[in-house]
Amino acid sequence: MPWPAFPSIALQPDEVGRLFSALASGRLMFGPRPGSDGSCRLQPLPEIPAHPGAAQPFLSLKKFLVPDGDPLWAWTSERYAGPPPPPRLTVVDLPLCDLQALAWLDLVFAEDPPYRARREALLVVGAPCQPAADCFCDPAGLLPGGDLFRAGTRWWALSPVGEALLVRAAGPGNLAGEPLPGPEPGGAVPTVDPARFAGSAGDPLWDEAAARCLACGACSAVCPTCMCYEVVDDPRLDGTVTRRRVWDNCFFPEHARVAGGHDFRPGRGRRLRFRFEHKYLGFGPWRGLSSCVGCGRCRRACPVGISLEEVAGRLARGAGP
Amino acid sequence: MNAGFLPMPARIVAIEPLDRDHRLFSLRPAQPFDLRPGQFVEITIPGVGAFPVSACAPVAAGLLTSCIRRAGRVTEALFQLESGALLGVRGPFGNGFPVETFYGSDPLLIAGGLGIAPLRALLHALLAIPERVGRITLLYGTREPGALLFREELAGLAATGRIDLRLSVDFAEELSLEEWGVACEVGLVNDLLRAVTFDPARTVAALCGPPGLYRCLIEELARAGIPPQRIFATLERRMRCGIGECCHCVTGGVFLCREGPVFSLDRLRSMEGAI
Amino acid sequence: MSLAWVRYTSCSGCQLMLTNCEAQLAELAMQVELREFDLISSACAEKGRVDLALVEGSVSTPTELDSLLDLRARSRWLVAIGACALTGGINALAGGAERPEPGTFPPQPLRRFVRVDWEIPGCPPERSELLSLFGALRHGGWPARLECAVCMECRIAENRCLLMEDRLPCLGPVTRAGCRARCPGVGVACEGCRGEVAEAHRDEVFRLLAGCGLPSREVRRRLGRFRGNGHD
Repeated sequence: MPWPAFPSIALQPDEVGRLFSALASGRLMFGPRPGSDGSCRLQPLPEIPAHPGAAQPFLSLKKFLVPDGDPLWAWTSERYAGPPPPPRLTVVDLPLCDLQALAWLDLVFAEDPPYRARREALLVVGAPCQPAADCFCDPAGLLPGGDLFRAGTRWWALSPVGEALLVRAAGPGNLAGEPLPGPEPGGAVPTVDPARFAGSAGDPLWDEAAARCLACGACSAVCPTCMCYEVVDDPRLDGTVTRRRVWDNCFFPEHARVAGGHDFRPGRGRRLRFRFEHKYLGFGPWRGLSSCVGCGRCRRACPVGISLEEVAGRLARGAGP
Repeated sequence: MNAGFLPMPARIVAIEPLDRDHRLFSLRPAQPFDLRPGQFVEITIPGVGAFPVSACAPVAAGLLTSCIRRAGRVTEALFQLESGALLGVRGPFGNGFPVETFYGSDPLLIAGGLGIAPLRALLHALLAIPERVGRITLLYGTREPGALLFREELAGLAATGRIDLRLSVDFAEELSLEEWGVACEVGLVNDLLRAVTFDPARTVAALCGPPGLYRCLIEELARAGIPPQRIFATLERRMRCGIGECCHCVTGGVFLCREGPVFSLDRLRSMEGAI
Repeated sequence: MSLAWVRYTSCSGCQLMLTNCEAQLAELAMQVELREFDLISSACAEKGRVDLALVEGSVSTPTELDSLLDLRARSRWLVAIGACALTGGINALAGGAERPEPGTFPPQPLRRFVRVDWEIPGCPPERSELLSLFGALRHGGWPARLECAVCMECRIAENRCLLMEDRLPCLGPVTRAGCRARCPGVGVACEGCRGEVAEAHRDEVFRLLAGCGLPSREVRRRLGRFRGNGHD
């Protein structure tokens, strides 16, 4: 299955120059860059690299869109006030998995005011990457989000904002639908049968899969679509308060515990099953929509080598006695 | 009331102690708002945190009234505050009880422990429309006699025949409840249910209590002949955002804070881990 | 709010963390009335009732124990500060193996003897946590914190994993977060000074540390270091 088509155009050097100025004007620029420790992160860029070169960063765009510790409001002199306007950013050279993950965040945070403010201040430019041995791309998954995509001299508009930028740079009327030049699909996001999942509550599969789980939270922290959060108050000595949204994690013992102490999801097995359900089956209005983008971050980050895909395989084969 | 995360300032205007760990807080939010029985709000103590709570009475004269148990870090801080303190309120969240489903029925309300709080809001809403509902029965169980909340009020309603009230306690040194003229059994709420007579075809049931109460009672109501779509329970979970994002309350794939917290039994049966 | 900072068997490092908050000291001084705080003031008032007693260090002599019991009796809130006060900390490392000094007993955490209203872990504790304690108390409550392992904060900081990539015996997976993975962030394996997370998977982390080439005895020693030597 090919990657989906989007309005596309090959830009002349002067048009690229105009587009680059529009992307950079009044904005901080970021892109994936390897650090001295060999780990790739989204780092500040002095300018947009002339040649596209996507790489998968350690943390995806969620570190900009739902940053850990994001202020929700401040309380000063007995008044509540919303957060300051977010910085205007352009992030370039994101791989397709992260664009798919962005589409998911756009969906689940569609009505979230702090997210929307950050998203509206963000321009995202994707590019093809070289998949690693431990990740795969699935064109049948989520439709890539973001604004623009570039490969060689060709550009694609992924959003109305992106299309307006291309039209402004190259003039109207020249865009034509063209599939994104993504990598060959290296695999597919596991399909989980909801009925089989529903019948698996008592299956030893979950406790077995979670037998080595440290509940350290690394998998969800690096997952580009995991979005559990907790809210905590940050009180200062002068009496002012900032309420912050901090990254939470369904493996943590407090996640489903209510005041008084009852835990509605005790044990690592049930918590792993919860994360599995969220990832492959979706919650609430998004039931039936998988948010796994195949990026491989969770498996790579797990100190004890747990793989949700393997668990999905076991569930599909019908594990248990 | 308001969108997003910004709370509306709300001042404590009255605090009424009910027992050592339960107090009735009346808050006056800065703007008018409404809250159906079973819906919930998030109350903020700036600098300490927030917690979800339902109201224990319909909103009247712009006042939000909640029965709050001292059960955690934030409610502990709330119990240190006095009348006049400025808090914050977000909401309302959730669906609440479908009051119109009770029209033309004999409401059967079953509460365990602090579960009386949202059911009292429902009870008051039903008492306000006597021409639309039939006989109201309230079964209410707590751990011990001292933990029975709103007992004078409930006893008064029972004495004037407005509700059929049955009480039970798990333990009691001695039952000195005669002074209110209400019988109280030592035992479980299940025993109360077996002792009351109701016409299942005319009954709409609403339950609120700890998980154990649902496990022992809710299917018993169905077995007694009440259609599962006329049996409602409100679920307690860790609620943080109230808007279907943070994932703490998800049960059976459902955001309880958005679609619930009140569900009919036929829905609950399809939600794994709900009861 | 009247304040007593009392130190038992410890290095004074926890007090230093507070006195090092230069930018906030003026604000703090306006908020609290110092009753006892050796490092800051020698003008000690009568040892009367205080609102808040912050206690650093473990208890290792009968005199310290008497003082702690007295302090508890005259304090509205008593907060244990730092690893020594929470688990015995560094002082407990000898583990009773050596001959104790005369007139001492093996260092004990505070909650062995008295009710502790709140705990701030770490060796030393984070300044931010000390400051939010005062900040939250202004509003009548204890500060919020997310109970999780250091690994979570380490991934949020996008640090390279010392345990997996460098085979360093890092205690991040079983250590309470709140330090923003300070040590792994500079390439030093977590020593676990903030104590153990709830529901810690001890068997698995034992296997992981043994996999780093440490002998079992050393793994046990590391894991037990800030766990309170089985007092809980």
